[in-house]
Amino acid sequence: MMNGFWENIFKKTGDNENNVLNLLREIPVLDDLSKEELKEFERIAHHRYFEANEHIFWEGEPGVGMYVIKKGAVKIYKASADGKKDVLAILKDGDFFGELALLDESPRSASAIAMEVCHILGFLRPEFFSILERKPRLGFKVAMKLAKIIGKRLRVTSTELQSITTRLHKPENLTEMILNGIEQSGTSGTKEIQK
Amino acid sequence: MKSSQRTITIHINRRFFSQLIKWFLVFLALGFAITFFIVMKHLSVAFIVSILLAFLLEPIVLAIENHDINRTWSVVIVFVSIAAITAFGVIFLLPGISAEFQSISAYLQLKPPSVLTAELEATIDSKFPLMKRHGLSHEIAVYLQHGLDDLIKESIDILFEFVHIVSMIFIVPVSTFFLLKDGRRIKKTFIQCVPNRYFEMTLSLVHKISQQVGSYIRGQLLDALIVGILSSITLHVLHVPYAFHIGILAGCANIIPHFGPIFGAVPAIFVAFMDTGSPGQVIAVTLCFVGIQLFDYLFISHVVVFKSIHIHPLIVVVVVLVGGYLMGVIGMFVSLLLFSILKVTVTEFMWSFRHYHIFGRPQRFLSENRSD
Repeated sequence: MMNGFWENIFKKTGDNENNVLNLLREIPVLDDLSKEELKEFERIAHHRYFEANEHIFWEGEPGVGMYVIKKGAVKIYKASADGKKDVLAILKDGDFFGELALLDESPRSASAIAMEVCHILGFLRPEFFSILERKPRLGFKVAMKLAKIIGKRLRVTSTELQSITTRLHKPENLTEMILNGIEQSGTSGTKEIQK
Repeated sequence: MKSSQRTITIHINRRFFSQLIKWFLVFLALGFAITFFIVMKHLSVAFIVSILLAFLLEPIVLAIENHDINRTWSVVIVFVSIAAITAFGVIFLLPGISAEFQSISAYLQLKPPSVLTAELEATIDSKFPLMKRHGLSHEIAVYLQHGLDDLIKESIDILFEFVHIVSMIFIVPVSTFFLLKDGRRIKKTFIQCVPNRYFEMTLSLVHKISQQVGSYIRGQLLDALIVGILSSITLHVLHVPYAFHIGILAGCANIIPHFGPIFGAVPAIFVAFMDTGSPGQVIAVTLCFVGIQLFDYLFISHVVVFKSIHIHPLIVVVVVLVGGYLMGVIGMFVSLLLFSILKVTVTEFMWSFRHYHIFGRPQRFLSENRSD
């Protein structure tokens, strides 16, 4: 099951050219910026190359910045208490993740791991803030965009939470949910409960 | 009995091998850098001066950049302004300063330390007969002569270094220019070499160190400038000879925490005493220096310097003493800066060790799991 928080609900459709500027223009946080303004962000982009099964960051680590996938695939997952990995999203070329870490150092809410050889662009908070200090007008634009994204994601998460709460309040739905959960986890006790 | 033969197959992990090569190259580069710094000592000094200047000028360049002027032009504007100010200083202020400087050098050449201390002893004896009776004046003179001899030796060493710095007068501005212009690119290139696992941690560490070093250097120099100007004005008002030079000396000495103010006050008191021989003048100069230092301690240094490094005053004293013991006057100047860099690095490493997956699962998670 994909999670509304992690899905790129803002992602635009369109061609992904192998050009960093065009790639940056695809990111909702930066899509209002002019070419010159985008160049500022291109200058601070860190090109990182990850091998398959290499972690980009781990859940609980302090967030230092956001990443954009130039090429490759990244799995976002949460580790459950029993050591299982709950996959939240599979992200591909042009997708971005971790943008909330541009604002503060709060811990990562999930882990990110490369599923294949990846070329990823990293935008880290200290350099991002230095741009905002140097170019206040540009900073205002980007900060407003981030605020919109956070607001939108909060609404999506609230809707998901509301639907779960509604289903929980109906006993037949609760049983159904428990059964679905057991089936998905592949436990041998499924049939016994159904009886 | 059969002799059992075992075939051992060694699987060379390609990733491990490439990591091994990477680390070997890192250590090789580090070794080369250290060797280069030892062998090319004077070039290293020029490079360090350039780094300090780059830190100092960074806020000015940023302020110009904020007016939508690109980085290169911002750096050019700063350099042209510095050149103009220097030219103005050379044309209008140098004649007066050099005349005063010649007067000081003539005075010192005429009177070597032994003569100066003998004069001081005689003046103290005539003004304070009680001190003569207990042999205190002679002890002060002897102590001062040793101090002067050491200071002259140190000064010659510093001047010798200074000659080398002057000989590289073209290297420093050029390297400062490029450090300011391409500093971000240099930092980015350095971070590019860091393995993925340490990437975020390293960037965070570099950022915090450069922030701390920058604020410390700028704070210290602002502090020195304020103390220097206040000292010069005060000494000029009190009609103490060489007020401007003593003011500069007091400002520079103020960079040494806690001990600097004493080094700055001694020449002023000495000159005032030798010039008039009046205890009143000496007391006035001493009180003025105490006042300036109190003002500095309460309103300037704690706001612009010590606030940025968070080091206990007692540790500051120990660090400065150790710096002085190891590297003399230069050591006293740079010891606190080096210590603050070391402190930030160690603190950040400890923090990263607890929060990042550097050596497997972070300590923080382990402790949380234990508490669960």
